[in-house]
Amino acid sequence: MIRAENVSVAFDGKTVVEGVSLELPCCRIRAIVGPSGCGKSSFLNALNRMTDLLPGCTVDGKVLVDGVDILQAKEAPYGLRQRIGMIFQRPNPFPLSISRNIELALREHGLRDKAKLAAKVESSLRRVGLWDEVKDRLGASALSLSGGQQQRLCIARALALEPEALLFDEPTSALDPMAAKVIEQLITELGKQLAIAIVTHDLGQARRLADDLAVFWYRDERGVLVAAGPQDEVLANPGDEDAARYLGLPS
Amino acid sequence: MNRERIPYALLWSISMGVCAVLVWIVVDLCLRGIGPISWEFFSQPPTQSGREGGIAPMIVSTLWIVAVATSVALPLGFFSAVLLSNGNGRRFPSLVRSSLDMLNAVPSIVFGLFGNALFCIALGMGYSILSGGLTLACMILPILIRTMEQSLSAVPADQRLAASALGLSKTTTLFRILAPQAAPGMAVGLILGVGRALSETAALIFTAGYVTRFPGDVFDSGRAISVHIFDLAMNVPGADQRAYASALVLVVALFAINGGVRVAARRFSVRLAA
Repeated sequence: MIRAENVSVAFDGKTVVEGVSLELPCCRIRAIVGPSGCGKSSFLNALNRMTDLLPGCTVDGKVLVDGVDILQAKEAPYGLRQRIGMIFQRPNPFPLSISRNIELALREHGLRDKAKLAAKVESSLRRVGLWDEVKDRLGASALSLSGGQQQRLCIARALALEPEALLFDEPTSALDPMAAKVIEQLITELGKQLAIAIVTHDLGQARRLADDLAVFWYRDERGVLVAAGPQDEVLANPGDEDAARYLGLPS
Repeated sequence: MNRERIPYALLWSISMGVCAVLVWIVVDLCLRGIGPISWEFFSQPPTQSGREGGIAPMIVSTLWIVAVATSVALPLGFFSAVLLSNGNGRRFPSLVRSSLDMLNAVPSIVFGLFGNALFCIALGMGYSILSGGLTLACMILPILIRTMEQSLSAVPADQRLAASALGLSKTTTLFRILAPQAAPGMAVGLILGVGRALSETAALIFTAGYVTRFPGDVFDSGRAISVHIFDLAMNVPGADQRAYASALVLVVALFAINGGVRVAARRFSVRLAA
């Protein structure tokens, strides 16, 4: 689904991620791990051109989505972000009602029919297991929800657009353990339907969720990919000393 | 205990002192200005150069001038603020910002001369409501732009991220996400701007003029309440009481606008949250 080829990300000419090639096929969860500041998030942001928003940020290489290089695309990336959704560290619902949070992007992408909108709101909320908790107060402010509920609403909001891939940037690090567990179960479930990448600092979480692993590390103050592959293969043979140490494997 | 009491008392008395100034002004205005206030004062034109009669034409002129000023400055200010808060490039916005801050410090009489040269003479609008309103628009633009930009920038960055991650266009993000959340702050900017326009005197003497009759349209000259107060106090002996009464009307109007927009802004953000 998504294939990054030799992707480098730079801020004001200073390279922070260099030469990363990685695949995100459908129906697999890829956990991206590594120490802080080694460019995992910057790389993730390049995959649906959220890097456009960062001042002074340039991306080199190719990001192929179904074979088309999105970095070369001339048009605005609105359609791209509909296809590749993103969930952030802190839940960021809009200060609107629960249903408006989901409807807003649907309307933007052309759905106006009220009955269809309502059906979409319900099905998205069901997919994240939030429907039974909020069905009686869809008009209430999204900010009245708990942190974990807000994060699930953000996932529902992205799912309503029927994306082919979801990028998670440390989606549970601002949540309490119980809420985090619910989100993890949800991601596992979604991993059967979509291509998923999740940046995480929690190695336990990576092991619980990931089909595939990718380990980032520093080389000459730049983030590089030092190990990648199916989780069991990487754990059996990371092929890199730093990656082995980071994963807590006996060297 | 005692050591904490002294600074506390000091702070308390300073803030009370600040409030006292306001109370003094209002009480003084009320005591001296309440006399002439009646239905006629609001509905009649002045007679005997303002010693008798009311301020009806001034109220109408003031409303016209403020309406022209805000209807020009508000859209200009909003879109400039949007442009600045979008931060395309770095040097240009900071250049614009520092020029706005300098412009904000320019004395209003200079704006008056500028407005007179540009609108009245160069553009041939003469002494008119339109010239006055446009001059005031120039004058309140800096404060409008700065406060609007600040309230737009104060919207949490993760709201912009959320919007663009959902593929919302910049227009939708602006009108559906950013502007509603910035509305209370922008309303404060509007109050400051309207307040300044409403109470402006110097800039209007040279642009809107001081004819005391009712303005027929925006190309007519018209005397704002503030100019009327100035004229009565400086040029018309024996009109002090009516000058006070006019000032009282102006101050009450300012308070009302202030309160009204604040309530509206709060309502608006409450409705948004729901």
